[in-house]
Amino acid sequence: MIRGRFWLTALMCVGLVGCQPTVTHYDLPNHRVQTNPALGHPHAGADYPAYKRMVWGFYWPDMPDWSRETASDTWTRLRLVRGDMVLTVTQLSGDSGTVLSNVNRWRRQLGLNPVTTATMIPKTYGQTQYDTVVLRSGASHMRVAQQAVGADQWFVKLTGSDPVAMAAVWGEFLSELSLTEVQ
Amino acid sequence: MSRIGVLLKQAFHAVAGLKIAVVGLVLGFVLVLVGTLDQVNLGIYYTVKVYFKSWWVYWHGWPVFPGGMSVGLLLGVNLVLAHIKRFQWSMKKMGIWLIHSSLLVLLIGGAISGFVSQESQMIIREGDTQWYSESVHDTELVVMQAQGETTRVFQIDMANVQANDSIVMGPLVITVESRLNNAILRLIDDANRWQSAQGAGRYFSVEPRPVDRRPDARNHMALWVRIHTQDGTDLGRFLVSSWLNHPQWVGDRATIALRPTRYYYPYAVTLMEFTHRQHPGTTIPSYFSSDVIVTDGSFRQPFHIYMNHPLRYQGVTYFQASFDDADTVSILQLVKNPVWWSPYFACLVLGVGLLWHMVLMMGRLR
Repeated sequence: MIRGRFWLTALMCVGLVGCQPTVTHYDLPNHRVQTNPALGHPHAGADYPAYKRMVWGFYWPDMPDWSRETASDTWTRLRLVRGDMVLTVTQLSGDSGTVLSNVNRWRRQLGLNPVTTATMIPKTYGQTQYDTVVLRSGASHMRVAQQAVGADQWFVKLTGSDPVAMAAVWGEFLSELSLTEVQ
Repeated sequence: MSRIGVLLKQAFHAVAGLKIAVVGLVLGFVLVLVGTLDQVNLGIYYTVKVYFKSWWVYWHGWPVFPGGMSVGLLLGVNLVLAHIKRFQWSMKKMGIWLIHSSLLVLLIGGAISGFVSQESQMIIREGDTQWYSESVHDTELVVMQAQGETTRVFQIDMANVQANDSIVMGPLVITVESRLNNAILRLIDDANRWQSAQGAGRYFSVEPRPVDRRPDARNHMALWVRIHTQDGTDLGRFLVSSWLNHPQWVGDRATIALRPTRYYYPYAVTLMEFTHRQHPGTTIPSYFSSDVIVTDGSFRQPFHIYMNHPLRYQGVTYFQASFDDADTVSILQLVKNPVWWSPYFACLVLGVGLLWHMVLMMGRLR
């Protein structure tokens, strides 16, 4: 009697442990499969810029000598520092202010008096045109570039004391910067 | 009677006996007690999964106590066999018979529901069309291989995959080197790429995180895997993670992804408009709804889904659950439970049985 119960219980346990699902498969029309050919395409190798866009929402060139710092606000998407040079990329949705209000804000940051009229000069870096402004207050310099992407306004700002080094970094960075996401 | 016949008869009487019923009920009682207490640590989803939707309760990898499925099966089998053993067709026993039948319907309905019911979310942006929903808690490993007009998807539930497992998935043999149940990936600087890995593994560092057991929390699993072709060619070491949620190419014929478990449907749901209204002066939602169009072959029908007014289509119920991304994304909660009626039916049978038995007893008392 006892042996019978034991074997029955043992058989049930083995049966239950053995109920393990395996690999299954199904077919889908190609248009229903989510793919991103930019990510690791077989002929291009794994694509670092694509991953960078995927994670950050935009791509910027590698800056090996710069250190990336965490920004204290949510709209600053990137903050890079080298010596006294600080490079930030900011994304604003909706109303981002007029040219005059923005220029006066940057002037205030440099300790300059506000102006009553202001313009930003269109300049092309790489394939992209930006509205730019260059400001100076004593030894402090500031360069700002603005680009609209969809409903968002992106601002790139570089501050520092060495205008030559800043000019070199500025052109290199903006030429490779891409503010559009991979679709 | 042969020896086997005697053994079967003994087994039948043992399993149909009252002792087994008592043992089953005690096991069930302990399980419910411990599961309820542990809910503080595990949260409701993991408690149900670990204690009740399982054959065994594991502790440090060892099965230490029968799970809800085992106890339910034991009680169900005991109930059925006890009925077969003692069944007498009489009006006097009808009430008892109905009461026990309702318990059986509850047990079987619960077991079927545990196996086949699905809860998932369909996340759609305004103007987009969606064919699948995703599980909040479960993760699947998929290998996709294009075959002309279609793509063959090989899928395995990650609940069944452990470190050091080797899995044959279509054209690939995948060996799991390590597994993290929750981790975030950080993009490393390009200059520090890890050349030893392929795909995303070259660019990301993996930071383990404790598993978040809150009911709506999404954990991101990460695996380091080594992939070979079926003929033994080493394709390299890959990092796959549901945090990435994008397929990566492996070689030039297949892609691999670790992602929330997907449930595909033979029809499409298009979100035409999402509406979100708030109580004046607050951010508390007063009303949110989704206007969708269901396209199923030549069938094309608009539906308005709003709070407590779900869409029911082909056995799936679509509830308006949440929204995202400045009110442009609607999150629908999908529930598929083919035996949703079983508790209602069991309660009906139970009520009839109790009434029958009560009337019978009252007649005797008189």
